[in-house]
Amino acid sequence: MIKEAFYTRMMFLKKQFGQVAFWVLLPTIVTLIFIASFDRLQEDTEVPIGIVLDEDSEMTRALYERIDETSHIRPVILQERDAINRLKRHNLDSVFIVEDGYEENTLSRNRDSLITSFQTDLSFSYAPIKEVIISYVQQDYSRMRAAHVIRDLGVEYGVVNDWTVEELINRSREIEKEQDLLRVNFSYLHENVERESEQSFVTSKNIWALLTMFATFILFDWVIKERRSSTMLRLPFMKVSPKQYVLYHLFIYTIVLFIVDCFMYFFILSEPFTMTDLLSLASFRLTINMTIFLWALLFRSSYAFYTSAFTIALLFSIVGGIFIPLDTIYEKYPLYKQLNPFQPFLAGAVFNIWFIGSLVVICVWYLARGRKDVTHQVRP
Amino acid sequence: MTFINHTFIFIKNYMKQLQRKLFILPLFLLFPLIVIGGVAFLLVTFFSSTTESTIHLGVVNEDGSKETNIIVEVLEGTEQFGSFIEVESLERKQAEQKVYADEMSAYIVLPAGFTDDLYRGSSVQMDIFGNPQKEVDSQVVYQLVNSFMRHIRTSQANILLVNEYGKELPITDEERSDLVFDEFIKTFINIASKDKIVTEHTVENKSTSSPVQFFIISLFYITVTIWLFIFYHLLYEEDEQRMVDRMALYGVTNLQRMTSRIIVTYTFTMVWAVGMAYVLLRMFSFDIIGENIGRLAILLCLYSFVYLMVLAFLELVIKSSSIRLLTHVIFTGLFILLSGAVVPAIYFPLYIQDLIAYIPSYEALFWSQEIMLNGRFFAEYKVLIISTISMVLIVILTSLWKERVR
Repeated sequence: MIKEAFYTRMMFLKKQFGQVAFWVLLPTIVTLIFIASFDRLQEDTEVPIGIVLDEDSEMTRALYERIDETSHIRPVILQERDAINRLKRHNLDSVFIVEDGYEENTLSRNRDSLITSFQTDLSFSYAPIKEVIISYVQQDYSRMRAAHVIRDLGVEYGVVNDWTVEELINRSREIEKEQDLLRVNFSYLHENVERESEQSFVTSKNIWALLTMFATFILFDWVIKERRSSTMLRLPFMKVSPKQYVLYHLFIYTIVLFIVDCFMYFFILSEPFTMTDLLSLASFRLTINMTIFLWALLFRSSYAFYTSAFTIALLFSIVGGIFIPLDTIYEKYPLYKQLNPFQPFLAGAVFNIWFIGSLVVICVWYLARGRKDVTHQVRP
Repeated sequence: MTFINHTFIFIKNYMKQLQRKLFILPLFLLFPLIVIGGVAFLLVTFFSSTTESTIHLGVVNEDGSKETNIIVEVLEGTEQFGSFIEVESLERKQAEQKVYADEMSAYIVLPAGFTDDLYRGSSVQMDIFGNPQKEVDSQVVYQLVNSFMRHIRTSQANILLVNEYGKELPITDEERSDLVFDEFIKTFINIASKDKIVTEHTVENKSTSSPVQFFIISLFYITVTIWLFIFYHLLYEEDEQRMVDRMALYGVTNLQRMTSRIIVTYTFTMVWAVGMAYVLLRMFSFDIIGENIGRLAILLCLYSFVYLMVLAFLELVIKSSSIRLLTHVIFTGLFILLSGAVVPAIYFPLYIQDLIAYIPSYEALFWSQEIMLNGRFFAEYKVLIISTISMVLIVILTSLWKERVR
């Protein structure tokens, strides 16, 4: 039986090979493109900030240059009034004013209020930029402090009088350049598997999962098209009922797509491979295939089915935890964690309540009304 | 003449279709609002939770030198990383157990020989172990520790400097190490109070820079775009080839049907857009003068029209309905993203900022914001008008060419 179903499938495939291949390859290719362009954009993003130099000295200019060299920040030197105006019109993210007396205060080791900052309610990047600028000022300052401490000691012990502050500062810079010594290493404590920390929450796994579901929708338009096609009329010759026919083909699709998944997911996207991961992927594939199969049974027109696919994909991109992490929602509503069909796969788990649910529904559907046909309108 | 006649017939027909779907229309109209509301809700809960709930952070001190002991003590006692992080010092085994039991978000390990290595200038590695069940918390901890370490890293040079020059002073090794220790602690405390450097101000200008108003404009444009998309597709019908052929015999062209579909979609959406604009203007107390309402209306009309024309063009070019829908969705996404409605355009990379000057959606949104938020009495329509005219020509020519080929 399966063999015959397989031959029929091949016959259909011959005609639609291009389209089917397109939708099979789509999730992985789009994931790769998406991640690459997302990374690229993130890398190239520059936050425009206004810098007002109330003091024009060597130190403040050096500070500006360091900010300028920092990636992701695009500083513009402006007058205070102009800067504030631009900030109000959201042409700048935030404004930092280097106060008059910057150099003198740093030299006399008075750190308070060297910088004045302005932000608005729309300054999305203010906090990290402030952090960066503080670290530069702090660096200037602590270098100055250490140099003074040493010079004072030198004077106190009367040993060396020719330790100038400048020399000490240069030496401190040299040391810093030579040695980048303190490293922070991040990993998850996770069943002996060490995952690399990912800076953003948009991971290739999430996007691939969403797109795979979406592509499966489109691929499963055969459920609608073939129930209306003349193939159904010829089924009696193959001694299968229409229900058996679609189930066989669901089986074939699941096997083939799972093999493709394994290749794409573990080799092309090089996700970590363990037995649990494999089972998790299998459970995910079975779940989406069965639910989408059942969903497709409800439709007569493939166009309406496609539209529903887009709507569902859009909804799940929001409520499925694909782009926005749902940790807090899960904590508040543990039931939702169970109900989200994506959650088990994204968390690397195997059990999926939708799997059980759709399996039961398919069994009921198959047994109910015996072998009565599932075709809607077969045109003679 | 036949063109206009046919177009009218189809317009009537499409109106009837809309009437037939009267009961689900509210659902379609609310759909974009539900989606945007959902996103907003999730984002707000996500961001508020990271600052509200306490994150439990463990510190495992395997070094045990007086320097690290002081670090741990200070971390435990104060709100060093912010008020929402609770620091606890414990053994590695305990920490592991607590992470497994989901009682702890992450723990840091200060390795044995940490201080010695720091003084000697050899490389030190600190490990942070995150709880995979609390990814967000773990990432927050990682970012904080990283920024903290960046400060210590720059200070390390100074500690080494003191050590190096201290050797030339006539003091014993013990005195020198006391000196270095002293410097280390001072540096540490210094870093702890680093926020003093900046005096912070928030610019507030109630009438112009309320973020709510800023987002309302984006919300409005996104909603209208999604409505156009939905109704355009709602009216679409896939005809069998036989039907198309039969209609062609009566002189019905695809262009006529498309024109009437665009007219119906356009008028229908615009009516609702005006309604929504009215409600939003009232609710969020925008202050707009008559003349500017005209400008805003022109911007919106041109924007919507260009958008529909691109959809029509893609429909003419792409045969397969699933792939066409996909391109429609991708185009819509890009159109919205590049307009700066989701992420403000000032954050885009420079080469995209150069590019978006030629994008109609950006122009429409930009000038709407200028008028509504910054009280300008001016708007530029250059890109919108040029793209409208060229899209109309392209659609007509493509359609005629396609018709001829058949």
